[in-house]
Amino acid sequence: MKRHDTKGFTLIETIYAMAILGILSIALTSMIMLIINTYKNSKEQFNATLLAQLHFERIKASYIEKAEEIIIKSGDLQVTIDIAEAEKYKNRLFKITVEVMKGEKSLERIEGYKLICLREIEHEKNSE
Amino acid sequence: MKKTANSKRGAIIVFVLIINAIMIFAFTVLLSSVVMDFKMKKLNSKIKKEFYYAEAGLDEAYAMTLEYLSAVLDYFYENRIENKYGDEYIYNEFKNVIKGSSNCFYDKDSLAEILTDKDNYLISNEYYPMIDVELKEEQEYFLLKINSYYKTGEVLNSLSLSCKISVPGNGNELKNITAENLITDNYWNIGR
Repeated sequence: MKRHDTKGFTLIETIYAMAILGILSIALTSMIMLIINTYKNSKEQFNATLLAQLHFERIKASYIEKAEEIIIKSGDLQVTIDIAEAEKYKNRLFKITVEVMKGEKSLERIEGYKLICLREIEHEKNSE
Repeated sequence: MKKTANSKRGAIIVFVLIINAIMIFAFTVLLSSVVMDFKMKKLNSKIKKEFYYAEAGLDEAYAMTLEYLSAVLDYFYENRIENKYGDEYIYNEFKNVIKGSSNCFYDKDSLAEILTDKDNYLISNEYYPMIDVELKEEQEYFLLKINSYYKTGEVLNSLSLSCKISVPGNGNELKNITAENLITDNYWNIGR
């Protein structure tokens, strides 16, 4: 019965298979995009956290004399360091805010204080 | 129509479905691993932020202690100049002020009460860490231990500071001494 030989794929089968693959590829493309975006965001977040921590620790380790705002560019990220006086503590304490931004989007923000030792200043005041 | 053992009718569909299943499984695993990685990065960011809030609480408590001691020193120095009090009185009264049992100093709260009052903190407006204070009186000094905690979820960031607060021995010391000179043997400790 040559006419009913079932060897090989029929056209209908191939069309069905291609249709299924087409639908799957659409679903998988959006999944791949999601994976890529999540991976990119994750990497950005990690870099932003490290950058914010680096600048925060650097400010904590340095001597601060006055309130100021420092803006630093690092690749496509912008780091804004805001140093503000805490008036309640007569220049003993400065509030430090480090914010890492990409365009308008804030990726990381660290806040804390920097304690200033007034030992030398007070000594001078007392000797007067 | 009788199916033979060599029949391949429908085989391509089976093949496509198997490929589909493998690809969906592989991409799902990849996606879940990437999402987990993202969550870990977010958690890392949160832990670091909270650590700095806890540290800010401790820094502010330390600054508050310095301010308080400065005010006490100024008060006693001014009164010493006017010869109102003798050395022994100053020594004992200084201790009473720190303990909150003085009748002469304008602030009747003890140092521990001031440090544990949430309203005294600038940081309390938004992110207030829990502050615990232990103040122990020894023969010639006070032992001060400040603990600052910040806890959200299951992660606890804690920092502590232990120090000695010396009591000025006589009125002449008040002239050259600063609040920073009174605080000695600082010991900082971090826990998580």
